[in-house]
Amino acid sequence: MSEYRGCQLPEDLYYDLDYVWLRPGSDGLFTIGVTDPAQTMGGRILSVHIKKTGKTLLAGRHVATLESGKWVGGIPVPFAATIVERNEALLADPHLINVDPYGAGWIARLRPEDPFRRAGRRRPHSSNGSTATTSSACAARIRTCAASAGRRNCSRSM
Amino acid sequence: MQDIGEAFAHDHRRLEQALAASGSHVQAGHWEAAAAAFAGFRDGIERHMAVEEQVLFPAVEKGAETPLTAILRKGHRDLRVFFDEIDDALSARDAEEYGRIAASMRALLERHDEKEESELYPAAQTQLGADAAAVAARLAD
Repeated sequence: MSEYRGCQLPEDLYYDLDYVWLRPGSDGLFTIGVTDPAQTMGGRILSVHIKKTGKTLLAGRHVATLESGKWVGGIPVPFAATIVERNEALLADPHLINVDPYGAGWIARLRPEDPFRRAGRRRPHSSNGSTATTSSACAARIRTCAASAGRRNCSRSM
Repeated sequence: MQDIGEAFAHDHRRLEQALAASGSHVQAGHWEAAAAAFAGFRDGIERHMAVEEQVLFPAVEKGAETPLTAILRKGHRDLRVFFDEIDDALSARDAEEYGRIAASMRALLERHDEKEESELYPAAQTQLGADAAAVAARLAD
């Protein structure tokens, strides 16, 4: 587990711009959620809308919309995919994203058309085992997090 | 002579009215009028965001993205996805989907506009100085 100023970034996940993590499953599906830095900067999540199961999304379209007291935003899918399951518990308790962004705060499970078609995304570990290409997008988010550290510590909001 | 804050805040209010007009047409089942109103809103807000991205953000960044401009850029990206989704809902004549997306978009716009008016525009006004009036005039181009 990588950590920066209290923000956790698991090394077994895939990352994309716009604060998204993805966890590949052995069944070919991908679980999607938002990163620890993203939930930290967004603050306590007050409401979540997740699109319905069976909906097919183009790359870049929102699988969910989150709202906190100071922020509203969409969660884009990094590749074209169909929603096969959504986290019903999250709809009832949006704060799960703040409490456990990589676990109980997952948003949806996706069946991708081709998860690596879109350029610019990186696996957490390259084919030669190096971690040098790990999550450049996440690194960008962390720079933002670091830049804001003078105003607010980048720790998990519990 | 308008300053940055006055000109852009006035444009926010004008765009809110254009979006509301589209919603009223949807509620009335006037889909072609709704699509035309939304197209007008989208043209206007794209021009508004372009001036912000091309002039105001660089003016306050001075070469390096700041937490403020990072979150405002994220807002612009999200808004453009919402615009596409609204267009889809209008094409499908799906009032329920239109209403859900429009509600999320209005909530985003409310917070986004407030942040711009309280933080971005005052900072840009300071940085742009004598050039501010010409930038404000670009909204009407």
